Amino acid sequence: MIALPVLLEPIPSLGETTAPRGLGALVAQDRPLPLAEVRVRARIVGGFARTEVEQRFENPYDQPLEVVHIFPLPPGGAVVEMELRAGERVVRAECRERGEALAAFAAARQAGHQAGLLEAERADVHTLRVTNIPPRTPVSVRLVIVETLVPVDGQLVWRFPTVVAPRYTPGSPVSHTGPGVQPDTDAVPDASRLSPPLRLAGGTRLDLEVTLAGPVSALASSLHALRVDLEEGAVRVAPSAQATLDRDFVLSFSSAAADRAAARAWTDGHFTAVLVEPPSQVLARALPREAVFVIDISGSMKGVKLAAAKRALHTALHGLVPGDRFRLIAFDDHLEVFRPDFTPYDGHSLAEADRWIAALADRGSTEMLPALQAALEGAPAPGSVRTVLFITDGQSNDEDRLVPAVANRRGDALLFTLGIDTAVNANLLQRLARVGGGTCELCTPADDIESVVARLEARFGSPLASGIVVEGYPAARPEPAVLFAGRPVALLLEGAPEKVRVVGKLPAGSFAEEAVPVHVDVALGALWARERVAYLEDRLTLRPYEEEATRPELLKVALEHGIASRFTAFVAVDRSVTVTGERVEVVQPVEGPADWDILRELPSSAASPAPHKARSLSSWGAPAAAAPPPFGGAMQFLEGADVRRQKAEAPSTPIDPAGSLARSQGADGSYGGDVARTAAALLALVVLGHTRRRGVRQRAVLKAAAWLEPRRSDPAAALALEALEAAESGEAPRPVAVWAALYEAGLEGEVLRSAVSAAGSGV
Amino acid sequence: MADLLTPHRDASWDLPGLVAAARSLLDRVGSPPDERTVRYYQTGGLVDRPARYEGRTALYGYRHLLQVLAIKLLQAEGHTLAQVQQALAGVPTAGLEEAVRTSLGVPAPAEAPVAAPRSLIAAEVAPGVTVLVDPAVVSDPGALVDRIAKALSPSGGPR
Repeated sequence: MIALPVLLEPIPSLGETTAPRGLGALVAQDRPLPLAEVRVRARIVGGFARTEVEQRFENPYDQPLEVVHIFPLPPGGAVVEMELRAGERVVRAECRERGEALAAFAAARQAGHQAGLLEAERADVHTLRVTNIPPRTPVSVRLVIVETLVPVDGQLVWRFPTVVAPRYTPGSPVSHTGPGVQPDTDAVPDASRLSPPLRLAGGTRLDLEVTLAGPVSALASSLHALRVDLEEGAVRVAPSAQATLDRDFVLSFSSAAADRAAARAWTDGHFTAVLVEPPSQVLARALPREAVFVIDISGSMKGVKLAAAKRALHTALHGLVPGDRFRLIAFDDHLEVFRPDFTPYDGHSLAEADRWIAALADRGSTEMLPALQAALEGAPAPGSVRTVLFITDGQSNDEDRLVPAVANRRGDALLFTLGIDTAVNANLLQRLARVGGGTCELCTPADDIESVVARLEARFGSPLASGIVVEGYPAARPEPAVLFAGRPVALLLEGAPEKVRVVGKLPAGSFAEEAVPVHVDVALGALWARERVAYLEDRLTLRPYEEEATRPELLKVALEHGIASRFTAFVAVDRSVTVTGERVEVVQPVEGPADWDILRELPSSAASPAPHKARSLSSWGAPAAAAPPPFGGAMQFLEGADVRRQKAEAPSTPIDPAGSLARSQGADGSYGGDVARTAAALLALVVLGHTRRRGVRQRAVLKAAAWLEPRRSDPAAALALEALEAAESGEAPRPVAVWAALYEAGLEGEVLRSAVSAAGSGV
Repeated sequence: MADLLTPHRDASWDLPGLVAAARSLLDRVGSPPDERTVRYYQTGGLVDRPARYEGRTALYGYRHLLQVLAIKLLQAEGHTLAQVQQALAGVPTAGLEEAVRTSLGVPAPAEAPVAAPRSLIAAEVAPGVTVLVDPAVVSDPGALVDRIAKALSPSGGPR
């Protein structure tokens, strides 16, 4: 009997071969990948954005298709609606408990019904699964997302991510359960759900259009050239050239009608949003600083990103003043420190630090945890403030270890994050800054990094106000908020009071503002719920032992308001479609982000790579153990395959004379200890529009003026200081003939001469 | 030509083992795969996620072997990796196997699936011994069964 099953194996059939189809036949079919197009329509009214995203899939196979797409959404956005659309049929998705949604989806798949499932893996990373797409039939999934935009330095920014960049996963592999390409590790147990396959060539078309209601000005986008159409009462903005899913779409603008009341409020009758402006800036800097600068030199930073990060670091370092102390930490999978301990800021250490920064080069993988731990360790010296500036692209999946490490730091260091990328990990960097008590600035390699840092400099210290709450109404995120210069905060409340009263503490005294909510037609409930869910998710990360209490509330809020979260998902089942036959499954490969030099650095040969440089990139997700790091070397395959990709048409770096003056300034504020050169530099800064109260070079002006003040008896010093004082009292700087004497004062004189002639020609 | 693929059907390898198996079948292809390249294929989804993990070791099987072979053979035919990525997306194991066999010049194995089930004749030729005879192959099944029965019988066997 044991042998019987073997005997019953079918007996060979002779002469029954089908026509051979070699591998070449597979290529010859030229079958496109399933994701055909992504259409985005956003409407921004005031500080609220409502975005419709439609992902269109096609099935080029002769069998039914199941497609998986791992993609990003704005981390602060709430998905409030999902629809599955096939031809004329539209099926609205339900938001359900995640396990139930998965079961409903699995049942539909089994029954041959077309179905869609949307899961939120992180605040930004989502997984969409559409199953049983009939052969040669298109289907699309439409999502609606709402979010709040909070101004930064008076500008509103709408950032729409289009691709999850390759992110580094620390830890040792333990399993591989998800559709992504990285293994789950002991440090990141869901890494296989966060890592879409990398697409080697071509891209999916992005059809994006944003409508801005009301008068707007200063429209700009650092990663796309724009086409702008004026409509009745609105402005319509779209990329002017063919765009694909390889970079964030970043639109910044000012609302011309901006009313800058200290507090403003909006309500939909059930929920209320309050925007609190920081008090007008005070330049006082009471305490000396212990400034820690942490810079990411991992392989993903290679090229323009690292160059931008180094510029940012230079600029931030030069913003210190004598009496401050600093540390520099560069990291990949190793730490490199400028000096083991804090170094007093003086001309000598500054020059040495500048050389150290200049020599930094890209290396291995993105191990952020040791770098942040080193930056936060120890307590600041009595009478000083510890600030940490973390400069990175944020491309790590290590969120669940990093957030607690920062939140549970000892001592009261403030962590500021500066994200530089074309597809930045905004979610991680915003969360780190939130728990680190600082702010998060995001920019692209094409931005004017120096002015970004100079603006950051204004908040890089202590908050202007703290303990901000709305009296009688706990916000969705109940901890009291802090206000930094240029950074208002939005508070979301349950309820619709007739008047809100915002109170808080100032360094000396108290803060109190009132506002009367204006009625708006915005789903504020969903925004409130999103914020509440984000708060509860933070609590789960920080206090996992409280899950028993946190989970039910999170689930309740998410289900009541119908938003995707860690415990809820959207599912849609179209029972009018039933397919049979073996299903093909495709995980949609996604483009590498623009300007990632690491993705295209190597020779075009499709053959095996030559051994790469000794310490190349470790694969994201592969253990950084003894095995030779594979990623950098293997990246060789990309080039040649990738004919479409060209360098982004970034505007060439503007020549920024004020920036170069700020960078070449000595630690004491002078230029070579020379009165004439320092006076020339100060005059040039004034002509370029910077004073002690205005412009992004406030600190350079402040330092130069402070150095010149005791030397006012020198006519050059007096000349410069008088011009500064005149400018600060509102007069336009008027170059006079006697300035010409300073044109000969070194490089600074040269800068002054060209600044004067540029200002003259501009008149 | 001997069937080189079939013995690997139920194999399970760690990454070095998978690479070794692929190399042994690819002696005629210019650039043999190595571990780094296979890891890289995984980042593009050209090679599936591992079948399972044993401790911290990822294990691979027949489908992964076919994928590595397919990639290398297509590259040898002059296709770029991007074309390979597009061509191999969603191809089921059976289709992959057929294409790889064709490209390698390995004939379908003896026990390749057949289209229709056939009826067999079962006959007891000795106490406890049953033989199955395919009437489509054997022209006179009855005579054959008789001959076997005779051969097995203590009295009727050849002397």
